[in-house]
Amino acid sequence: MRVVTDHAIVSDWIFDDLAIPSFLARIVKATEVRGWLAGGEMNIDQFFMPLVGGVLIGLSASLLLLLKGRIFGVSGILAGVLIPKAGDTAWRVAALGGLVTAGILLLMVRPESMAVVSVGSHWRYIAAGLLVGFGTQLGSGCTSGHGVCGISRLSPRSIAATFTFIAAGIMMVALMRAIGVLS
Amino acid sequence: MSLLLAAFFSALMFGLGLGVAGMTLPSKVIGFLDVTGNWDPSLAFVMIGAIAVHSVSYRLITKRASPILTANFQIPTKRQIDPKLIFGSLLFGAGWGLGGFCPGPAIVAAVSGVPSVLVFLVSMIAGVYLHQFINKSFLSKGN
Repeated sequence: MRVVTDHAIVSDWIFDDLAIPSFLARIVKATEVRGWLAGGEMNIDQFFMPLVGGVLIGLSASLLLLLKGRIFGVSGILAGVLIPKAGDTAWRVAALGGLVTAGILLLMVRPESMAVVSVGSHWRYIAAGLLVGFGTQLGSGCTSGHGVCGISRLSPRSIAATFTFIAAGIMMVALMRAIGVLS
Repeated sequence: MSLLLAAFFSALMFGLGLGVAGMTLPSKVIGFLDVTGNWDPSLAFVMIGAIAVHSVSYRLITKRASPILTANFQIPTKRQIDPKLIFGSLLFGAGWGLGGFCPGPAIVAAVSGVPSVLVFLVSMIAGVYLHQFINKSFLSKGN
């Protein structure tokens, strides 16, 4: 019975109420709907919200492509601000502003998504940041440019890059687990 | 101006998507990569959702002669898988697993002001400049 009720709430949200202004409020509400699968044992956050987030990411990459004809790759956008090229910088600054504004909105309406818990020492974050900054430049892209945009257009380079960085990430976490850095 | 607004609002929606999805939480990202341990597969749905939408819309959009606000699409055409691509992606993946952040979520999560995110962000920026320096000094000689 409970499963049916909760499922109806989610359906309402999907099919009957896509009013954009209340969109965020609805997302917050939907996260409170628990257990519509597995009879109350599974939190909807575990897969439904990642799916909603993924759809938003796909839509936003489409919006930038449709309006400006550019690929939504964050590492490339960032590099174009840090190492500016004449005439190709202003939109990148605007995009970074959009990401920061998203962070501010999230802090207000969905603070749990910004409750970052540090997982290690500053040295670990320094090493991680250097690897991510250097690696994405050498590899011409990151999770957005290769993982979302590149795979969507079936670019062989992006497919190879995505498999490589996910595999490297899995190996790094396995290594951290092996040496006891992960509890 | 409309170009700037397009970039701003695309990125705003992108950032909200990252937050809603849970990509801004490094513990969640590391859980996704922890295949050999306590694996949390939920973030796979982020890529599934994003690719499901964009693989369809990409085909529809690029059927147009041009984007709405500019003259041409600027889409990478390079297809060759070279050592730079693979080695760079290996380094990026290692850093992603180590810190739990990729570039987009790091920028969004930096707003939280949590020191470790800021340390990551500054180091990531340093990494971009380090690449620029090495690329200029060594890698592109002879080109």
